[in-house]
Amino acid sequence: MSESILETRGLSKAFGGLIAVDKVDMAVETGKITAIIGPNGAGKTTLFNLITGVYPASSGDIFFQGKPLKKEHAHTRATLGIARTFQNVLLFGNMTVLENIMTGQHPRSRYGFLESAFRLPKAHREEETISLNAMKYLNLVGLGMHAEQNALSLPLGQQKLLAIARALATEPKLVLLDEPGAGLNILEKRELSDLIHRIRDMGISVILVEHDMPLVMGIAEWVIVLDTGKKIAEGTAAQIQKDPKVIAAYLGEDED
Amino acid sequence: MSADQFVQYFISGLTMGSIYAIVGLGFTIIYAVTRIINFAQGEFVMLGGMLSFYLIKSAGIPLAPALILSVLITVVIGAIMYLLAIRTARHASVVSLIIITIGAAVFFRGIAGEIFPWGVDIVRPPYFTGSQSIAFLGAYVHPQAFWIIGTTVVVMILLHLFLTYTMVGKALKACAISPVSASMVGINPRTMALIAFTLAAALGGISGVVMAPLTLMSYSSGFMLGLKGFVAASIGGFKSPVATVIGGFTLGIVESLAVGIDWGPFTSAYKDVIAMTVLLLILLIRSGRLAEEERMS
Repeated sequence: MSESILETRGLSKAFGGLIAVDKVDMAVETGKITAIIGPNGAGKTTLFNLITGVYPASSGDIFFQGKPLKKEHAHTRATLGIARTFQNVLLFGNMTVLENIMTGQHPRSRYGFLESAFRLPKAHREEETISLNAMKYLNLVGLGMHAEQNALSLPLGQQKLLAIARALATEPKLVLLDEPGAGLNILEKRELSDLIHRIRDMGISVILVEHDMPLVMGIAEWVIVLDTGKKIAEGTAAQIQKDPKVIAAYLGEDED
Repeated sequence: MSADQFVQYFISGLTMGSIYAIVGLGFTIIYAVTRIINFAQGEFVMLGGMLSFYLIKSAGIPLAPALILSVLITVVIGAIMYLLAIRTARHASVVSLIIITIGAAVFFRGIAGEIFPWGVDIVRPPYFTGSQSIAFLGAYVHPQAFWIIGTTVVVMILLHLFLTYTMVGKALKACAISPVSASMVGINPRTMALIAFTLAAALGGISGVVMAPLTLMSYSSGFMLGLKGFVAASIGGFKSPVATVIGGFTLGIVESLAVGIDWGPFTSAYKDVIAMTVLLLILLIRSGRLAEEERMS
């Protein structure tokens, strides 16, 4: 395997007696689309929360581009280049679509509190650049014409695209997508696959958690399988589909 | 009550209401960003007023620079309060942090009663532009009342523009809506909390310096002002700035008109009773809904 953008070693998270993530070692290759799959309760979202710093890890280490992440705050990890979306979307309501994206560019804004409070010309110009830049990401996900709409007035499929655009606006090196396909129709899923490919082609590494097997098998270049917090297998989509452990733990029980 | 009297009481209600509204906005901003109810909010108002009297009378600084300096010192005090008392205890529960703000309020009140040369006496800083009342729709309005209403309205507009059109304002809003999402896009919730405390102290300081000449100020004035602002903010559920402003004005006007009604010998004593009654009613109505929201999050 070539150079990895993200690595975990013995990463664990316990909630009281429940071990949600159990000594996971994984390496995510730079510039690839990696999928993390597993039955409900396998610890996939918890793993995302550990990587992005929503929860502290109980033990183990996380390395981003070879540097240890464990001591960094969540917002610092975002500025280092890790962005994510949430299973339950979590957009900023009461804000327009464009404003949601603009918050994603907050770490890049150089002018501080006083400058913007008094709307000094430099801060003002910077805001215009940010808003132009935000439009670029909106157009990338095809939401350009909805810029001035309230974010929560969009249908779910478009809200999910907006969440992805907001993540991309932080100009990440790695983006984590938590069930981007859930609740989308077949057409929207096809567009999502295209979008994920385009993100990869922009040089951004992608990790996605997803239940939709055709979607995962169609786009993932590497698949990691979790079950009850442990990594039970990893490999290419073709290898995973043949792995008896995976079939027993996951595909065999899947009713979709 | 005659029509002239009505206008008189209404304008005095608007004046006090604008103060309650701006104190309430201080509560709302801090609560929205940090979920802390800052019981020292009223003390910021007291400090603004007391500092202005000290700087003008004892230090002999001219009016305008003294007012600006008073607000700036209050802002610094607000920031120090956050950094020393709140940030260092950030792993504590929100309830503990709220109790810390009560402690800070007691501390500010105690210090204010000690360090100023006039001790616990009530002081009146000079009027900004004299005391020649202006006839207005059959009522006589003190020029300082125009200063109070004008300043608070301008401050509200500036605050609105700041929250809506600047990146920092958007980041504050984002943090208020979802702290987790906000940190995922690189917004530091602690920086936002510091900004919230700074803004709230500025709002308190500004209202303190404009109101003190008309309403007078003493070391203990902060408590009741804080409580009135708390009522205004609770009308807005500590979430909506617009509802807080409406709440503040409503409280001020209702309070003032009620004083104008002839209640017999107790008239002016009923003023605070009204605020308390409104507060009790709101808490009764809202407590169920607030508990529900807590469960949801």
